[in-house]
Amino acid sequence: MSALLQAKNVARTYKLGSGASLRAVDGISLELARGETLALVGESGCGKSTLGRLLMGFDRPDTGEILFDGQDLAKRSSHAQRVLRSQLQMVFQDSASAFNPRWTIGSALAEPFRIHKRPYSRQSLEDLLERVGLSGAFFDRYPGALSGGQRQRLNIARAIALSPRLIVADEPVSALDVSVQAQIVNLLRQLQADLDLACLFISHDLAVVRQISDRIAVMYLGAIVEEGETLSLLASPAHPYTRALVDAVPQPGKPLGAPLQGDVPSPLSPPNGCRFHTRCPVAQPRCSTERPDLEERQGQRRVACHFPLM
Amino acid sequence: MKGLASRLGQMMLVLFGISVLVFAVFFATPGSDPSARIAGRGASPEVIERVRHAYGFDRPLPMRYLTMMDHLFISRNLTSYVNHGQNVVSEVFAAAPVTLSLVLWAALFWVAGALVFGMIGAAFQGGWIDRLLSFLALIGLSIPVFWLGEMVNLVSQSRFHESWLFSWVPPLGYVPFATSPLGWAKGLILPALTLAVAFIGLYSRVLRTDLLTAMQDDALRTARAKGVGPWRLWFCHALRLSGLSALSLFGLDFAQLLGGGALLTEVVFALPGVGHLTYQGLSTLDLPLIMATVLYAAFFVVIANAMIDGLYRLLDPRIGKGSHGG
Amino acid sequence: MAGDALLTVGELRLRHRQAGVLLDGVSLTVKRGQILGVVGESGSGKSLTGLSVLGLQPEGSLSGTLAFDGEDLTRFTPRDWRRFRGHRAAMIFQDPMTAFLPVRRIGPQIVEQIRLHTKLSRQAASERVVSLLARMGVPSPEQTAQRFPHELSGGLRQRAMIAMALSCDPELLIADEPTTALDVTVQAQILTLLKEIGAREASVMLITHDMGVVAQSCTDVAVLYAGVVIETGPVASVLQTPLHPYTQALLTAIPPMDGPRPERLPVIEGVPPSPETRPSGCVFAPRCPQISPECAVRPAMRGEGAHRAACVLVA
Repeated sequence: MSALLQAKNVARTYKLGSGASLRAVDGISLELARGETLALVGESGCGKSTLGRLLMGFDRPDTGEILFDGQDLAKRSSHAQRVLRSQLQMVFQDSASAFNPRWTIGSALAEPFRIHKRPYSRQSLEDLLERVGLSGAFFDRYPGALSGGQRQRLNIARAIALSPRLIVADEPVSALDVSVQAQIVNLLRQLQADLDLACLFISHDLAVVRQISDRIAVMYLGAIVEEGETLSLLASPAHPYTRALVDAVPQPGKPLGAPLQGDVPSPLSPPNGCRFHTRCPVAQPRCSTERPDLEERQGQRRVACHFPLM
Repeated sequence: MKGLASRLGQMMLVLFGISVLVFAVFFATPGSDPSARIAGRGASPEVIERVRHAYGFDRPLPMRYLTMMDHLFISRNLTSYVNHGQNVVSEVFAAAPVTLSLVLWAALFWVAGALVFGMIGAAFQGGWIDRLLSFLALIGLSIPVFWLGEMVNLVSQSRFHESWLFSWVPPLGYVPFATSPLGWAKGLILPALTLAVAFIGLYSRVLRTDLLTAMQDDALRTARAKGVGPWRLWFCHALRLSGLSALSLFGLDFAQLLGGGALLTEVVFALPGVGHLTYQGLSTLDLPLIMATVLYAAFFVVIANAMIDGLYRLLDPRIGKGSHGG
Repeated sequence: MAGDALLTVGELRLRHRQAGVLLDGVSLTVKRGQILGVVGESGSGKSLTGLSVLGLQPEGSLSGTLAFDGEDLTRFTPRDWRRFRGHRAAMIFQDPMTAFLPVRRIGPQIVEQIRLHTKLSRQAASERVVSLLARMGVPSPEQTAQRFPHELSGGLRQRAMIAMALSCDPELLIADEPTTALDVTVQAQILTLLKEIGAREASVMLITHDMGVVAQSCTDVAVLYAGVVIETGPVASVLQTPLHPYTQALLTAIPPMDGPRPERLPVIEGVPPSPETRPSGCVFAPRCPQISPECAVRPAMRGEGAHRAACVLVA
């Protein structure tokens, strides 16, 4: 079965003033199958948001290709791209600015149908609201009347309105309280199952990611350092960085371990060799000169490390 | 360094553009041929023709432009069309110190006034004093400066001149600093105050708003958590945060005034500054004088713009440097 | 003396002119040597409680008791507050980027605080700043002190802010969501640092929405809901055997990192009440799965020993 979304050696470099350049995404390849949820996990500066934008087609990669359903996004005509848009939707973290405060909720929901010239009715839109757990009575009200969690539900409603095949969600629950977060996570899981929706879930929150994703790709300074099935990856991480991330998640009942030293290096001047070697607790001399490739290990796990933990 | 060179290049381009524009307006529009006026009333066509030739008005436009620029900047011997023989460039330079003195005094008053009234307004936000100051600021902004100036003159020069309040006021005119510092100051106080009124009105309100915004800033909350008292809070923290935008406004206004923007004030108070000269040139349509004063003003504004940018870069460390990623 | 009450908050009520009653009876205690986690969701009043301890709460009428080492904070004049803030109790905030003045270097801002409360010379204060930064784990402290806030990474800025807060040896450090804006690996570093501070230097009031943070770094915890404290006690006890239904729900709503993955995360439907809709009885009653007629009267904190909860279900 061919993958729904494929990235092949995608790279994107931003040129900043005075000759500096930022290699935000550095040769990434990954695949997403139909109905599957892949999580992109990493800390600030790792490039996950940039990768999300590239995969959505908001930005063009400098090298490599991105194929949606076997077709290269960048090579399509603008008309074809618009058609593709309805198949590929995005949900953002900041729900407040996603909606025009002067439009009613009903109008906001109708917009995708109007743009893509699909039929809709008030009843179908109200059903859409109910589907994401909002009462149909919200139809004539304004987004300002909604709480953070409700706005995020509306965001999701708009994203699934045209029955897309893939949703890219960029930190969709990070700004929400724990109890509301749980509600939204439940909703997303249910929708994935009901609509056979593939999802690229970008987040820094490992606990949420564990709940919602089938596979995880861990990113550090623009590259994938480990990728594999969610539960086994989190239970026995192979890359030292993944191990550090897992250890750092604050959980009741788990004491605080020794934290990872230092700060994330600036993406403007990444370290030589393995990018993680400056903070790695098990780094060896080889790690500072030779950059490890992402290699497949047993159990369908890919790791980019000279001395993986398993 | 590269930035500086490109900046200078931009400035030259702007000045060039302005000079061409002004030249075109005054010399290239139909009916702007000054020969008839220069020749005098009732001159015969031959005289006019000879005048035209003598002044070079029959030469092609680009040549005339270049000649004028040469007279203005290089040989600096551009002469007036009205006061024959009067060197326009040296006139402008003679007038500059007058304007400078006036504007410096005015700036002193308007900065002090803006600070005082702005801070009082912000500290007593919403109270009667804030509303009163707001009302006064609006009046100050709206009063035409020439009317105010004439009123001031009326009161200080004629009506109440004998009273103790205004007996120190000297007759209208300018006394150079070298001649008598006291006379220089006395002659400038009332004109400077008059000029400052509108600016105090505007700047006190801008500062008040900026200060109130700054007080909401998280950095101020931290300062209060540190135990900083109200005086320090306003002066060292809030003012520092909000001062920058007021400073750049100030720079532009200051430059524009220096370049001759205080025209009305200078005329009303009979101060022979650059503004007065501009007024003179305009009312007699003395084209060289107009060219000189307009370019002088443009020069100041362009330079001030560049200096303000530089000052901003210096004072706000966030600009120019790339911030650390993450 | 360790174990003595340093900060006592009793039935604190804050009524704001427009927003209504924001705190409706907050009672908690911070003892010397404790790290108290004040945990709640947005709108629970946790940040306001912290701000009230330093007199920085928004305009409104404050009633109840607020005592620090025997002194009655509700009677403080502005002068008393200036002497108190930054000296006997200090606060750090969520976003260190906006907490520092962006147009001034870090070092002078910390020196300012030192010289507000001590008689050190500028030179001596600068040296103290460098040693403080070093103690907070800042590499090359002399250079860092000469930097502007935007030139430092998030973790370093937070360390600098903690250094500033500790610069006058306060007895209580209030930390308002200190790690929320940081990456998770940096968060772990800062929490370790706060734990050390709590053990050696000052008592800590750690305000957060994250139960995991509380579990890892606090000795005791107070849970807030809708402006009311509904459960307090030692961390181990509260987290293992939560008494209040809200605390139980909060703990089960966190997705687990080990063990089987639940089909659905257990949730409580609805949202916390706003000041206008806050019930006069038990604040959690409208959403509580175990509601009973007694809940119409707001229950007082009850329980044996240190672990107490405001719920009729507690014996």
